[in-house]
Amino acid sequence: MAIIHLENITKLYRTKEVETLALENVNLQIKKGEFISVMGPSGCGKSTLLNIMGLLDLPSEGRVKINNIETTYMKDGEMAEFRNRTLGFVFQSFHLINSLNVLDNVELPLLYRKSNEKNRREAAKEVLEKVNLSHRMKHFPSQLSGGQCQRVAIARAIIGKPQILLADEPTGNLDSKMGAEIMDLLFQLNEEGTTIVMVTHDEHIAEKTQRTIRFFDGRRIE
Amino acid sequence: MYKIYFKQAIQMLRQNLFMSIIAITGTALAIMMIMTIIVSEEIKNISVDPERHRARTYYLHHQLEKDTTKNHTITGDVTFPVYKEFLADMKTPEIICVTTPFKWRQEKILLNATNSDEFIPAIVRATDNNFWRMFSLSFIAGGPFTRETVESGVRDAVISESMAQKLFRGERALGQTFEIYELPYRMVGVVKDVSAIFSASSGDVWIPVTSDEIWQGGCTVIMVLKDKKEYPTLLEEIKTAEKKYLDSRGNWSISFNFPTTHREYMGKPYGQDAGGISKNIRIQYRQRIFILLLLLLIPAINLSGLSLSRIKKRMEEIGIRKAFGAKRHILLIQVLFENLITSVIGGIIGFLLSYIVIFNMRRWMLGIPAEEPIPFNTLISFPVISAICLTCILLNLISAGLPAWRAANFPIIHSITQNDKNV
Repeated sequence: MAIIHLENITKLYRTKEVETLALENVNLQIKKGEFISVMGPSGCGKSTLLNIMGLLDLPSEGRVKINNIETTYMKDGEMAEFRNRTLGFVFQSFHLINSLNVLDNVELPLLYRKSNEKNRREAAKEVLEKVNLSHRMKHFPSQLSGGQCQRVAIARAIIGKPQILLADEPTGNLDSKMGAEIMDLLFQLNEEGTTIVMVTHDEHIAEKTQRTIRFFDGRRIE
Repeated sequence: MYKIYFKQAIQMLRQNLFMSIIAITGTALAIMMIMTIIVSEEIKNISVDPERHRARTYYLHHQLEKDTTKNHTITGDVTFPVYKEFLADMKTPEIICVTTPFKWRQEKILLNATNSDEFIPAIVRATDNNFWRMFSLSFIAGGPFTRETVESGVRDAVISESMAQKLFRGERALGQTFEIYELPYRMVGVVKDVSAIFSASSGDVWIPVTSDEIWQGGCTVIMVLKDKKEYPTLLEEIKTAEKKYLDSRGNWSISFNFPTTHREYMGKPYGQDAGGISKNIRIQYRQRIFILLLLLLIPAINLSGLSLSRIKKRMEEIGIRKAFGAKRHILLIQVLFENLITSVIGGIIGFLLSYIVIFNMRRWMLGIPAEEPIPFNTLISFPVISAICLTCILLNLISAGLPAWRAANFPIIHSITQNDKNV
């Protein structure tokens, strides 16, 4: 059964002067436990697709079902809770909070589950060990390398044990060695059962995933 | 959760030191202006020794006599004969006394020790024996003049410690005599100096109001009620006194002002009759509220610009928090809480600055001489603490509320990707 079900998704960006069609009538089903990559040239709508899947943005038309739950009519608060429990995000530029140390950054999703401090700390330490950063817990993001920042971002994304991980060019800002380390981590998470959707420009990385979806001018071409 | 907010707020203050200093300084100055007014008001109105009954003290300071046949009116302060005949025996007040009002700016009266050519300026308060029950002045030597003294018009006097020193230069003051308007007064008591802050009781010399007729024309009646709820009964009793006056004087009637509270009396209410005085008191209240609101709103609006620019820099963070499950109201609370820390730091600094302002501008702010000390027990009170807390919260809500609400409602993806372009 599909864990992510996109049905006739269209996304139109409007300004006063111009309308831009980012996605046009996209249909997509992703099975539980899959690791798929999304490819295409810049501006083809890959990130928009990921944002709609992650409930960070709303489609202009169409329906998004995750875990067989219709998300179109969810209220803001319900959607926030749903994202918190079901989805994890990894971004190209990490998006860590600079005024929080590594441990506090990683704890973030649990903060919104009203989990107590002791449980949050234990869970954060556990995932930081998993990404080999337990020795950097008290450091601030500005004191870490790009690869370390991305590992912290992955730790933050998986601390809440989400079923789906959405990664937008997770290796885009890293050198090849660091990129390989991050990919190993993502494959490991997929083996443990996490469904992963990853946007990438790198053909070699995409080849290693189970399925590749290609986009061009807002349409799915493959 | 609040622990993390607190840690983050402190970290942000450190990371953006320049902006933090500007925000804290702005908040401190805004709170200083407001607290200067509130603290100076409280200093003038707090119930502490020697005026510990201020909260339930009422003043009757104005009378209007009217010839009902010729429509002639005479207005002015309450006179001692009227007080004695119609007001002194009222049953509702727990304590009632009469005294000449204390106006430190008025010309001081010259005293001289008997057989001395040196004249010393002094504030003289003519009062009655109940004054000593109403106000707890500390006697160093001797005691107050008695009811019998007041009734018989004997010229006994109580004098302040510093005035005794000036008059008798270290000699034992009790029993010695000095002169006011060439009439001799005998010292029966010496009290510790009373700050001019205590405007109902302070002075240099206290004498019986009956000791000379010149004191009996312009008096204020001070009443302490057991409970403020007795105010309507007091009004009834004053009405009865007015009727009694009409019955005894034939074609002359009298009306007094509605008794004013200590706070109202300190505003020096004026007017031709009770209605006029009450109206002016209401106007004074409105003016004070208006000034306080202006002092709160103008800096708050300025600070909100600063808050907005600080929040703009955090749009990415706000987007990320929302992506990971933060609800709008949680973000709103977080931003307000973090801003409250700035407000509290600024509030404490502003609060301390307000005391410095008051100490240095006491003549203007408190209406007391520039060299007059401000008693410590008047400085901190529950209303002052409540006011500082309320001011911090209000300033925080007004300055950060709207920027925080806008940021919390901004679309997630725009917050993350476009940062602050459209906030």
